[in-house]
Amino acid sequence: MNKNLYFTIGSAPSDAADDALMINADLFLAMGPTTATTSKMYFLDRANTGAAETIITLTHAEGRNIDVIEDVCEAMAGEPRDGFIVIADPTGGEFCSPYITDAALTQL
Amino acid sequence: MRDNYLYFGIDAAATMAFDNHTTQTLQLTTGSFDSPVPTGTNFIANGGLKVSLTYHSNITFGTYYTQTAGEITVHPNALTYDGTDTITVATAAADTVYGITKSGTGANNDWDVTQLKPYVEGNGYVYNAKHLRGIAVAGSTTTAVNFKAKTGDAVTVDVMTVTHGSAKHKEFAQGLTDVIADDNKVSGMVVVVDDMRSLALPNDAASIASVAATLDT
Repeated sequence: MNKNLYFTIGSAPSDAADDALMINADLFLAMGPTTATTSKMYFLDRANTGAAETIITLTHAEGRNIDVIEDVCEAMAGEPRDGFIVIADPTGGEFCSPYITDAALTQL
Repeated sequence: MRDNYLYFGIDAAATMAFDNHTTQTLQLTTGSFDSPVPTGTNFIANGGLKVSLTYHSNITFGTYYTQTAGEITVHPNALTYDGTDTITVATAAADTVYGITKSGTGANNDWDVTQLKPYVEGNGYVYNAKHLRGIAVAGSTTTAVNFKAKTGDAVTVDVMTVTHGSAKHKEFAQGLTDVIADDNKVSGMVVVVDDMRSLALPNDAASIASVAATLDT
C-alpha cells in the first residue's frame, strides 16, 4: 500500500511555500526525542539529494516523547483506504496523537 | 506485510542521588542528572521521572505509604516540579495522604531521582524496519544491526550494537525478523531493547541485555 504522511506548520492561511508537506511514508527513517517537549522525525530527503534529511519537529506535552513516538508509529502502521495519514496538522487542528501541539519542517 | 518500527532505548535511565539531604526540595543538575535537565511543570505528572527515598523511622509518611523498609517511591501527587530544575516534595502535614516530611536528622534522608522516559536527544530512536540494511555478528555476545542513517546520507549507516547471550546471534536475528514479518500480532512500534526501561523483544530467545549506538552525524 502506498501511504503518505501529511504535516502542516500552523500557518493560516496555509498557502506559502513549505507551509505544508505530504511525504511518502516509505521515506521515513527514524524518530527520537530532542528535548522534553520536542521529538524529531527523520526522512530521506524529499529533494533526493542522497546527502541530507527532511526533518519534522513535533512539539508535544512535556515528557511525552515516547508516547508520541508510539502514536506516530501506530498511525504510520495504519492502512487507510486512501493512504493519506495526518501526523500533525496544526492548521486544521488534526493530530495523530493527543499530545502533539505543533509541527515544524526543515530541509525540505 | 504490515509496517513495523523498531525502538532502541540507547541510554540507561539518568539518576541523581540526594544523600543526607536536609530540605524538601531536590534540585536537578546537568552534571549529576542529565543535560539538559527536563523542562515543563507537567514533566513528573506525565510520568517523566520518579522520586524515591530510603525508609527511616524518623521520616513522617502520609497514610498512602505502608512500607516500613527499603526504597519507597514517592507518589507523584506529592511532587511539584517548577518546570526548570527543582522538585518539591509535599510534607505529610500539607498532604496527609501522599506527603512525606523529611527527618530532622539530615543523615536519615536519602532521596533518589530516576528518569522514567526518554527526553534527551540520543536517549533512544525508533527505526523504520524497511530501512534495515542487515544484521551481522559483531562479537561473541554482540550483534550489529545496521539501518540506513537517519541523516539521509546515502553511504552511511546507524548501527545498533545489541548485547545478548553468548553465541545467540541467530536467535536474536530470528527474533527480530519474526517481529518484522508478523502480520497478525505486531503493528506499529516494537521495543527491541530499551536500556532505560529494561525491556527487550517479546519471546526473547537471545537473552538480550543492552544496546549501544554508533550514529552517523
